[in-house]
Amino acid sequence: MMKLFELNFLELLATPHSPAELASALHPRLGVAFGGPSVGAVDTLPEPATIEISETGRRAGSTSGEPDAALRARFTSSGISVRMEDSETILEAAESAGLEPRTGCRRGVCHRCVRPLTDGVSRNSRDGTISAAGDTVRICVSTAMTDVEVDL
Amino acid sequence: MTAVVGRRSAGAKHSDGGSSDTGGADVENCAVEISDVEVFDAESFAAELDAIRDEVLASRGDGDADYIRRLIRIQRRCELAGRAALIAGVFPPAWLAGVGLLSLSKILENMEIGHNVMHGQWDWLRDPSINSSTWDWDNVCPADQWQHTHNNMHHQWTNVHGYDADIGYGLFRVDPEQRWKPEHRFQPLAFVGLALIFEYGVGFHDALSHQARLNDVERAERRGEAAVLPPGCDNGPSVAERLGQTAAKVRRQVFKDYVAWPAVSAPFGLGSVVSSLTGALAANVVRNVWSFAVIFCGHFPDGADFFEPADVDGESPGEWYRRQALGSVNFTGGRYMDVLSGNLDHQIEHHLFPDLPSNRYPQIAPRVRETCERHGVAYNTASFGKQIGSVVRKIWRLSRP
Repeated sequence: MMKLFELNFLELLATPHSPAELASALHPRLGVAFGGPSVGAVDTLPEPATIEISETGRRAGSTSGEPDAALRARFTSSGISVRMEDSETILEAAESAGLEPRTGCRRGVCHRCVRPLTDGVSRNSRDGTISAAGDTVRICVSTAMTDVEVDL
Repeated sequence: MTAVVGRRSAGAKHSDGGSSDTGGADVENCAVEISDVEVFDAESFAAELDAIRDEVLASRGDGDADYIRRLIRIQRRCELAGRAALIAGVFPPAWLAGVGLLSLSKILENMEIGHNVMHGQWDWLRDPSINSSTWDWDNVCPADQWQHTHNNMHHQWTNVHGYDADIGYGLFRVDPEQRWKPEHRFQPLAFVGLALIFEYGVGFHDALSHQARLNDVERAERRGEAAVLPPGCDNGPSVAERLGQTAAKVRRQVFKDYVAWPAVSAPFGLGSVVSSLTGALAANVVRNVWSFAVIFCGHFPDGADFFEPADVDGESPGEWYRRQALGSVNFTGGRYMDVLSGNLDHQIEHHLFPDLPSNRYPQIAPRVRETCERHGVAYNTASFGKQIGSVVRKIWRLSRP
């Protein structure tokens, strides 16, 4: 196959999307043939995050006997783990750990700081939305409700 | 409770008539004026708009998910059908159909899908293929640069001189407050030219506007003034890096439209190759002109307000909402106009709530309008023809000092 740029010819035909995405618009099975996800894999809405949060804001059971235990944020790509201060946002925690994540407006408007939440539960302090592992979150307005793990 | 006297909101314009009146009459005029000035209740304005936002957030569901997934499927089918028709494009009707379908595909992809996905309107789907952090669009502007100039700078600092580089895109004088320069004489010509190649204007906008900001900082420093980049502005990638990113995206887009698809047409003869090539060019131009027209109607028609950095110093949430509404302009149209304009016919709703799913803007528009009008915040809406006409006249008028 002709190699040009960093993409192969088929990928260039479909750019900026993938050949599988384009093919699956014709038929889901055709998308699978081009290496896309199996039929119906992402076509259903996930259950909303219903993880139980205890009154102290910790994940129920995870801090038994240690109600004052501070929450921690772990940043998977950089391997850094930090203690989260009360009402500190994930972005602030990352910056206090010396990371420089991509940011923008810092008020939840622009979505430039969106990162995948890979574990734990966070809360959007702007609109109260709860996010769980598998969600992507605006780290500038997200506070931790449990220990969290973010791809950063 | 903050109550601020309305600034430049509906009906707050004064007339200077009657200056030759006697002192007594002046006092009387004054009294009338004070009672006419609206008191803007920023807190309850924000609370009411937040309530609209919360309602939409709470009611997002399968219907919305179906909407965006169906639209993406339709758009991609249009693209493939358009490419196929262009391969058969030696027959003029097939060429025209191909151009129509490919134009429609590019318009849907850029306007109702790409622009809104990159705003994070669909992040809640938890679908990695429809997410603001991964989406790239069928346009020569790199997604990351778009999010910087558009989501971050333009949406946060809408119509604030010096902060929002989208005021005239560094080319046009769209507010009399902008200093007239000799090159503005040519802005009616530039208006037509940019419409034809709009995606390239968008593609290089982040790099060029960043260079302009750096120039401003340098000039101010030379004058010995304290100079900083606008708040929130990303000084990360250099201008050269930004230009490089755009060049790479241009290369890919150009290769796709003008080399790869014509190459696929080659087995069907030279006529097919030419048809694929000219068809893609025509579709890109159609998309450029349409998106240019829609976007120029967003903030430049008469009635849209502009602001100074001092106006936004310590701005409360309610004042932020008010500035978004006063700086934005709607136009009317039906369901098809909604989809084809990417719901930017509801520019006001989009600027108040840039991360709500765009298919909900028409639904909340009557309540937003009622809320704005009750709070004395002008809600500017008219037909598409009137708004674009107003922009054209303004471009012409302000081309002279």
